[in-house]
Amino acid sequence: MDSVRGPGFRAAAVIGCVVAGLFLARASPAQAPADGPAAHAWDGGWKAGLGEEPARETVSSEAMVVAAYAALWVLLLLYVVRLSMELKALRRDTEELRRRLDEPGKS
Amino acid sequence: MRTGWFEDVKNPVAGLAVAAAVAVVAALVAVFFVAPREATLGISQKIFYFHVASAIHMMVLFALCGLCGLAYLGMRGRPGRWTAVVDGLGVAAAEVGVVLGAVVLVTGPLWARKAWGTWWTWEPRLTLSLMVFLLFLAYLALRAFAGSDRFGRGVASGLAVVGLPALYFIHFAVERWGGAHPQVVFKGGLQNPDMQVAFYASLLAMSLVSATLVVLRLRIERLKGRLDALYLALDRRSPGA
Amino acid sequence: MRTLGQFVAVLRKDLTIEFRSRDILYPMALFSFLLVVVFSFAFLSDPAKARDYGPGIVWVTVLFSSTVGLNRLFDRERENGCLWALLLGPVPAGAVFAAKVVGHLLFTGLMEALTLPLVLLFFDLPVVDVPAFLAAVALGTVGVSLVGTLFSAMLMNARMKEVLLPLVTYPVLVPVVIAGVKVTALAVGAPLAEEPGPWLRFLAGFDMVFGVVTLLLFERMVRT
Repeated sequence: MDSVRGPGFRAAAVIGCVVAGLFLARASPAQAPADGPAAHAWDGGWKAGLGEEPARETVSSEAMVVAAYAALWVLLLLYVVRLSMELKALRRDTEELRRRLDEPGKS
Repeated sequence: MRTGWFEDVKNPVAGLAVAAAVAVVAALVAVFFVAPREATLGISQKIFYFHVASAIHMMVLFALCGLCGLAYLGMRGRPGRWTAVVDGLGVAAAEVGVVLGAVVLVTGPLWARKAWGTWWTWEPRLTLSLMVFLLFLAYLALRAFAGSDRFGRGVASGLAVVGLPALYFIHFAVERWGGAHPQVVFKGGLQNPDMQVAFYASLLAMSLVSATLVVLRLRIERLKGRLDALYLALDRRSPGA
Repeated sequence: MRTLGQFVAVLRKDLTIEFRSRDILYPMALFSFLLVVVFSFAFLSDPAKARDYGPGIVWVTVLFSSTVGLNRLFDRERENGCLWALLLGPVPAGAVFAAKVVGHLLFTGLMEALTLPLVLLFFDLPVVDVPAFLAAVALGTVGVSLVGTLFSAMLMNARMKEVLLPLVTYPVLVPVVIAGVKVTALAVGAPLAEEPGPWLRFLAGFDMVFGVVTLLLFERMVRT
C-alpha cells in the first residue's frame, strides 16, 4: 500500500499474510474424538462401515457396476457428441462466411 | 491471414483420441480381468477405479482452470495469441471438469450405497467433489451470462483464481465438519499389486481421455475466434449488409 | 499515511450518501426481518428442536441479507461511471476497495444488530458463550463482505448480476457458513465434543487470506 516502503515490503506482506492465514486455518490442536454413532458413520477408508453395518441392499452389485460404467461412458459420449455438433456448426459457418467474403470481393 | 501455431495445428486430436481409446480398453481389461475381486466389497469395488481416476482429474482440471485464470489476469486480458490460448484452456478445463464432476457424482453414490449402505453422506471427499463441481458450474455460468467479451472473461478468471484458496478452506471445513477424522485414500486399501495395476491403468486412461477432450474443446474455441475474425472482416467489407 | 486519508474520504462519501438515501440499509434490514419471520413460520413447529436449526437460520439470514446489500453496493458508482472516475483520480484502487468493504461491513453489521437478536428471540436460543458468538458473527461477516464486494465490483456491469452474484459467492463462502454454524451451535450450548477456538481461528485465517486475495484481484481487475 504505502509507497514509502516499496514493492518488496508489499510482496512480503502479501505472502506473509496468505501463509499465516492458511496456517491459522489449518493448525488445530488434536480435537477430542466425537463420541456417538455419528462419528463412526464413516471413517475414511473405502471399506468403512462394512463391519458394523452390512449394506442393506436389494440391488445386486453387478447392476451397480454396470450402471456406474454405463453412466461414465454415456456422460463422456454425450459431451463428445455435443462438442462434435458444435464443431460441425462452426465449420459450416466458417465456410459460409469465407464464401461470402470471397464473392463481393471479386465483384 | 497470418496464422501461428495455435491457429494452425492441423489435427492434434486424432492421435490423442486413438491413444485414449487404447488406454481405456486396456484399463477396462485390467479392471475387470486382471484385478481380483475384492474380498469384502465384491464386484462393486470395480467402480472405485474409474471413479477415483475421474475425481483426481477433476481436481487437476480445476487447478489448471485456476492457473489459467491467474495467467489471464496476469496478461491483463490484452488481446493476443497467448491470452487466447490461456483463456481457451481455462474454459476447456472447466467444461471437461464439469463432465468429470458429473461422472464422479453419479458413480460415487452407486458405490457408496454398496460400501457404506447409503447413497449420500456428507463425507469430506464427497462434499469436496460437490463443491468443486458447483464452483465449475458457477465459472461456466459466468462465461455464459456475464458476456464473452474481455470483461466477462476477466470476471470468470477472477472466480477461478478465488476458487483455489476457497477450495483449501472448503477442504478443511468439511473435513472438520463431521468431527470425524478422515484418512488417506489408500490407507488400508489396494495392497494387491494387480489392483494397483488396474488403478494406475485407469488413471492413465482418464488422463488421456480428459486431455483429448480438452484439446478438442480448445480447437472449438480457436474456431470461434476465427469465425469472429471472419465476421469482422465481412463487416468491414460491406458495412451495410 | 495518505492512503489512509483517501480510504477515509471514500468511506465517508459512501456513508454520507447512504445515510441520506438509505437505499441499502432499508431494503436489507426489511428483507432480513421478513426472512426471519418466514423462517419462523417454516421451521417453528417444535420449539424443542429450535436449537438444532437455529444456528443455521442465523447464518442463512446473514448470507441472504448481505447479498441484498451487495447487489446495490456498486449501483451508485455504475450509474454515471463514477467508479472509473474515482479510480482515475490519484486514489489507489486498494483504498477504494477497502472503503467499499468497510462500508458493506457497517451496513451488514447494523442489519445484524437489528435482526440477529430477533432470531435468538424467536427461536429461543440462549447464547451461553457470548464472546464466541460475537467473534463468529464479526469474522464471518468480514469474510462475506470481502468476497461479496469483490464479485459485486466485478459483476457491476454484467447483464444478470442479481442472479450471478449469489451463484458465484455462495460456493466460495461455504467454509464461512460451516464454521459460523459450528461456533453458533457451540455458543448456544449444543452438545458437541468441540471447542469454538479452532473454528474461530479458521474464520480468521479465511479473512486474512481472502483479504489479500480479493484486494489483489480488485486492483488487477481495475487495471484490466
